[in-house]
Amino acid sequence: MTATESPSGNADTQPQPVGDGNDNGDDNGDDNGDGDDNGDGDDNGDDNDNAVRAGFDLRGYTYDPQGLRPEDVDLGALTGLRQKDLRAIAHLAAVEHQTIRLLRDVLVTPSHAEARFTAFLTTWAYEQYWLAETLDAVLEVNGWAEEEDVPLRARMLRSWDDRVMPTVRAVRTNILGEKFVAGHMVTGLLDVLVTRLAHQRLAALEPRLVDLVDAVLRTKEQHVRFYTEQARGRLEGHPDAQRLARRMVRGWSWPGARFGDRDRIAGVLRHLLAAPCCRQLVEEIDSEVAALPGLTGQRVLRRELGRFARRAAPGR
Amino acid sequence: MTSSGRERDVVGPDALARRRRTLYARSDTYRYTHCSGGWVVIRIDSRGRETSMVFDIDRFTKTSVRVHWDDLDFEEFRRNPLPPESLRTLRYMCDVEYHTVCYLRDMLVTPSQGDGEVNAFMTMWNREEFWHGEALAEILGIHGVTVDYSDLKDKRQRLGWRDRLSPVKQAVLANIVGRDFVAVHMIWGAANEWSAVAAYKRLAALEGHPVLAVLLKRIAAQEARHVAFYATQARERLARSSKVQKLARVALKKVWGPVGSGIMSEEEVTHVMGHLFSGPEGRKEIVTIDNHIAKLPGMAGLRIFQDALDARGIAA
Ligand SMILES: [Fe+2]
Ligand SMILES: [Fe+2]
Repeated sequence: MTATESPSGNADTQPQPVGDGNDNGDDNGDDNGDGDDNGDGDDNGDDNDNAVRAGFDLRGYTYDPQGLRPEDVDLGALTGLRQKDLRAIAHLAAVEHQTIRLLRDVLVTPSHAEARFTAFLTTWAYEQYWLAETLDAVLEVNGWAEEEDVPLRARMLRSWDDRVMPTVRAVRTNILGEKFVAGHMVTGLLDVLVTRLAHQRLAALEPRLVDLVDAVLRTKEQHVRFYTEQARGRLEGHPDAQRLARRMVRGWSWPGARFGDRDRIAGVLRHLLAAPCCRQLVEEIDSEVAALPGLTGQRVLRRELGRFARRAAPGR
Repeated sequence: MTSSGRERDVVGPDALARRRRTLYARSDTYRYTHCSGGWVVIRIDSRGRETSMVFDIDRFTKTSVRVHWDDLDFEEFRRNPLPPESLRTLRYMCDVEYHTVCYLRDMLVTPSQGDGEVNAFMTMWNREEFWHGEALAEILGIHGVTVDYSDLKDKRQRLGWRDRLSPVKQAVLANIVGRDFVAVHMIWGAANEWSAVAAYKRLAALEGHPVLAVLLKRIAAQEARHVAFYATQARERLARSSKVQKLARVALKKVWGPVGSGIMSEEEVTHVMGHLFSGPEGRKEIVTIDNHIAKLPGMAGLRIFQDALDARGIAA
């Protein structure tokens, strides 16, 4: 999937709201259902591991990270960007910077024992760091005042993701073990897919960013492959993992959106995703997730964008 | 600000100011001097006291690479293999290096993870340590000792509840003592890194193996950079209050153990400490580390490394 469509000036089309108001209360508080996992014995973690071992070349990936760096970009050609684009870049920079927080959130769960996963995350964090630094450099040559992003960044970094505390509670009260890992793979995949979409749209709206975005997409390609393969291997034939993953997917929200400032993010999403062609791209992401075992029918991104559209309706 | 990406080698005051702003309270002010090594940041706190930051995070991140051994002839280990006691020590070191990601987790759940500079360091540091593990695993592999990701996973899982819950405990503890806890992390990290430098130097000297010595020297050079970060941070943060100093003192005296003692059996700890640090030469290294620690604010008279040897009956 590539951003082939041309920039569209049609900014007044909202991301299509999806009348999906019935998910209230789904996101939290339903983890008391965990008890029913107790009866089903062991995890069979090893089969699981074998199932996902082939394929993604972890060694090659860790060996040769695609760390896009500020010096790889011709920053001189990227001055004078529009405020709207800069705001979107600032949001993406904040999101890419929160990697270390995601790392923590994964590490406190049983997923941390997965040495393959932590090896991936170690390299991923490195790539993300340089990606975020590069976006920062673009903001810097445009004289972007970072102040307004600092609170969001700080909040993102300091707060516990509320997805985690239920996990920790569940781990304390019963042995869910590795079944959580699949869910982390799915939400990780979602995060990558939607930030990739945002980058693609950025390039479509501001052609000068095409080279930069191409490099970003190359790194994300690997991340998508890793998460997809892991999610698929860990969900297949594991109904409990599928159920947990469904719950975690319901609790998923746009990266960074959990930490307030949904209005600002709504503005960014309106700018990036308002064009009619985006419906198709959103659909593609949702089908990619729905194609995973046990996640049939989930339309996660569409629902999330619907929430944003509802909240941001009065024109700006 | 320079506009060309290729000229960003010297980071100017603007970029530094922006980066540091997230690091300290807004009431602090900064000035910058340019000296031989690059920009030095002088922080001036509300009472007019000046502290210089001797650790240059931008330089650290830019020069952080995975440890290289492609140019070394590892076949030498087949012609000239290492003796069992050294393999046992290497195995310990390898596990400790791979375990860094779990230690990273323990740090990330405390308030220390809010700082931009700390995050940047942690990202690079975690990756460097991961590659130390990879390098040592390769040498062990040549000797028929396999350390693969499923072994690591087994080990992490065997740590079980204690390990799973430690981040939670850590977070609770950190919330009680607040930001002071960061200082404890930093001095703890400094102690670990100092001992890593000493351990690699000692093993290189004891073995006198031509290829091993070169690799261990490279690793030790990276460990020395880690020392610089942790020691700078610890010095800064301990100097702020005597309350913090007391907390750190108690933690080092009552809770601290040689790196790896939380994850390896006591038998292995004793083997490694004895192998590397028994006798006058070993003791000399240990005394040096204790002296480094004792020079940090409020730490005078501490001799935790010597105590650790004495407690295990390892003679000087
Ligand atoms: Fe190391
Ligand atoms: Fe180190």
